[in-house]
Amino acid sequence: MDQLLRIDMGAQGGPKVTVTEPGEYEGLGGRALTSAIISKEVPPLCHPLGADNKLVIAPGLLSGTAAAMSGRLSIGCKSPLTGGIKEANAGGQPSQMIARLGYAAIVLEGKPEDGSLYKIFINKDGVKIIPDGSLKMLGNYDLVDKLKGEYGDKIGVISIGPAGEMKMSAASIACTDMEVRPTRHAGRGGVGAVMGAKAVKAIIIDDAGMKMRSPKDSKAFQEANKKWVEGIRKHPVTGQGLPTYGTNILTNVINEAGGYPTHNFMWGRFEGCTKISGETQAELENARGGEGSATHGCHRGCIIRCSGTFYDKDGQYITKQPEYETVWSHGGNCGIDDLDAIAMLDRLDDDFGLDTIEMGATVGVAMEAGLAKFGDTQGAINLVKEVGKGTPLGRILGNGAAVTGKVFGIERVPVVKGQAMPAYDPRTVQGIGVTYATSTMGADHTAGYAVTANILGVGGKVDPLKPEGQAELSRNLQIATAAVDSTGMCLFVAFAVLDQPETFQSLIDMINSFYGLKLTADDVTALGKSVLKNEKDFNLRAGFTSKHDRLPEFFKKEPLPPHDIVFNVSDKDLDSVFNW
Amino acid sequence: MAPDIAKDHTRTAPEPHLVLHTNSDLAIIFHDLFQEGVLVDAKVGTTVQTFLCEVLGLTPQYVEERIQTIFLNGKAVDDPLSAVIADHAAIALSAAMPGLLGATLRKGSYYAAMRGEISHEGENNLHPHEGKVLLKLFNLIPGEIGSFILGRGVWLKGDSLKKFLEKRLLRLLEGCLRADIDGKSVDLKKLLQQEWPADAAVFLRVCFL
Repeated sequence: MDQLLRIDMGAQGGPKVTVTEPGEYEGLGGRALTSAIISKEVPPLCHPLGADNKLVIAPGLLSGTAAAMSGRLSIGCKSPLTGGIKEANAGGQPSQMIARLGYAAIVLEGKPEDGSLYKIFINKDGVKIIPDGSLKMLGNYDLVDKLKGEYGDKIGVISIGPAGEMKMSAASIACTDMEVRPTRHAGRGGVGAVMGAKAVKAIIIDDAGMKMRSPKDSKAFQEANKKWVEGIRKHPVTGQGLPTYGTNILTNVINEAGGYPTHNFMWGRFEGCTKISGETQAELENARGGEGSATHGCHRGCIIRCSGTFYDKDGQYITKQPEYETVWSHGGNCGIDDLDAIAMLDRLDDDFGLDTIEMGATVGVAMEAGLAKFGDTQGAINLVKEVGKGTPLGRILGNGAAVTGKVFGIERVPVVKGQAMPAYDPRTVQGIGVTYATSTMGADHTAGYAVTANILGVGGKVDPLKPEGQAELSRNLQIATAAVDSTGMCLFVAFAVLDQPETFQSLIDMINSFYGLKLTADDVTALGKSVLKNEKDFNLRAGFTSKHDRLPEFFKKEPLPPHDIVFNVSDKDLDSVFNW
Repeated sequence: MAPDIAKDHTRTAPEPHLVLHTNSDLAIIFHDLFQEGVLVDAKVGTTVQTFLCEVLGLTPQYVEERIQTIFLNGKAVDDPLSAVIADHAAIALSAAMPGLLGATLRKGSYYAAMRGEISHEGENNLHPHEGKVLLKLFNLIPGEIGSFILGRGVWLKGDSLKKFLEKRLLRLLEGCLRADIDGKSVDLKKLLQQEWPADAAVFLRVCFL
C-alpha cells in the first residue's frame, strides 16, 4: 500500500489516471494523509466545488491487514459546508479493499466540463473511468443494485446519492458494508458534494486476486494482533455494552445527565427517551429477528460489532441499525419517539446520500421555523423527501442547518463553522463544547473522541478535577484522535486502550511489526500534533480566525433545563487550545 | 427529584400490592420499568455507597468495577462515599459506556473536569431515616440486579403499571404462572381491567421461578 492513485477528472481529452510513489507522504495513512495532501496541494481560498479542490480517499495505516478493527476509510477535501479542511470517515468494506490493491490513497482532482457523470472501476488490472448517464440521480440503494448486476456481488462501492449530484453541503459519501449495502457514510462536511463536483457517481472496487497485506515481522504482528483482540473482547464497553446495545446505549445516560439536546437544543431531557433508547431498540430488533438484527459488524474484521440491522414489523429490511447520533438527531432533537420512523429517516438519508447529524439538526431548525411541528414524524419524513427531490425547499434544507436557519430567520441554530452539532449539549458537558468550538472540522464530537490522551501522556499530566483544565483536556483529546484517525482503527477501540495499557501497547506493536518501525507513544502524539498543525494551518490560510472558534451565542445566554446552565468557558481558554 | 408518588397522604385505603410469579426468562420485560425508574424503600440520609451496598445488597467490588456511572438527581457522582441521598432522590446506575461522554461521565473519570457543571458535590450531612428512592437502571445493570430488586418489591404509579401491563400482557400470559392482588389470586387476563390509582403508588413484587 504505497502508491497514490491520482485521477484528473478535468484533463483534456477526458479523465486521466496517474499512479505515483507517495514521496513526501510516505508512511502516512488515513486522516494524516488526507490532511497532508489537502493542506499542501489545495489552494485554501479555492471554491470547494471548483476544479482546484481535491477529494482524497485514504485507508488507514493498518487497513488491508489482518489487524482487527482496521477498516475505517478517511475522506478529505476543502469542505463546502465549513469552508475549511475536512476529514470525514466511514466503516464498510472499501478501506480494506483499496489497501489490498496497493493504494495509499485515491485522489480525485480537477473537474470535467462536458456534463458527463462517471463511474470508476478499480481492480488488480488497473483503473477504468467510464461515463454512465444511466446512473444520474439514482439513490444509493438502486445505484449499488445496478452496479452489482454489472460487476457482481464481491465488489465494494464508494458512491453519492442525488444530494451529492446536486452538490448539497449536507451530502455524504456512502461506503458499502459486508452485505454490499450503502449503509456506511463519510457523513460530515459535505464531502459528497465535492465528489459530485468531480462528476464521479461511484467508485467500484474489486480486490479479487489480491492478498492481505503482509507485515515485515509476521510473528510479532500476529502476537500483537492476538493481544489486541483479547483486550477489545474483555473490556466491558467493547466486549459487552456496544455489541449488546450499539452506540444508542448512550441515550438514557445522556438524557439522565440533562445533556440530551431536545427540540432543537431547547431542553436537556426528552420525555420520550425510553421509547428510543438503546435498550428498547435492541429488544425491538431482537424480537423482530432477522440476519444481523441487534449485533452486527460494519466491515470484515470488526470484532466489536456495535451495529445491527433494522427490519420493520413485517421483517422487511429498512436500514442498518441507526446509531446514537441518528436516533438523537431525527429523534429527540425533533421530538420524535418512534424507532420505526427514525429508521425510515435513516434509510432516506442513506439513499439520498445525506449526513444524518446535519439533516436531523436541519429538520430541528425547520421545525422551530414552523415547517413542521416537533414530534410530527410524517412532517419530518416529508422534509427529507423534499431534499431527495431537489425542490427549492429541499435545496435549502440539503445545505444544512446554518443555511436553513438563515433562510427562515431562526436564532437558535446549533452550528460551529457552519457544521451542525452532534448529540451532546455543550452546556452540560462543557469540555465537549470546547472541542465543538475549536475543532478544525466544525462542531464535531469525534474530533476529541479518542479517550486515550491520558494513556498517551499527551500534554503531560492534567489534574482532572481542575475546572480550568478543560481546554487542556480538549487539546489532548484532539491530538490523540487525530493519531487514531490515521491508523484506520475504529475510534471505539479507544475505550479498551483507555483502561488497559497492555491493549494500547499491542496497537503500537502492530504498527511497529507491520512497518518495521520503533514508534513510541511520543511518536504517536507527534503524529497527532502534525495532523492538527496541517489542518489548522490550512484553515488559517482559508481565512479562519479565533472568532470562528466560538459556540453560537444562545449557548451563553439560554440556560439549559434541567440544570439551568449556560456555556461559560472563556474565549481566552478557547484560544489556548491550539497553543502547544 | 423523584415524582412524589408514594407520599399521597390524602389516600385512606392502603396501596394495592401486586405479586407476580413468573418464569425467570421473563425478567427482560421488566427492564422497561427500570428505564423509567421505580421507587424503592430505603434508608435515606445515607451515602450512595450505603444505599448500593446495604439497601440494594451489592458488593463493594460490584459497585467499584461494574457500576461505572452513577447519577444522583441528574448529577454525575465521583465518590459514592461522599454523596448523600435525600428522601425521594433519583439515582441512576449504568455499566461502562462508550463515547467521550461515556468516559467523561464515569465516576472518578480522568475527564471529570469536562463535565464539572453537572458533577455532584459531596456532602457530609448524614441523618439516616426511612424514605424512598427513585431507582433507574440502564443497559447491562437491570439484567444483573433487576430480578433481585423486583423480588424485594418496588413502587410505581398506577398508570405506569397499567401501561406496562398493556404492553407486556402477551408475554405475561406466556410466562407468568400466577398473579395476586392484596393476597388474592386473580386471573391474568383480568389484570388489564383492574382499576389502579393513576397517580398514587402501587407495590409490585415479582417472584422469579
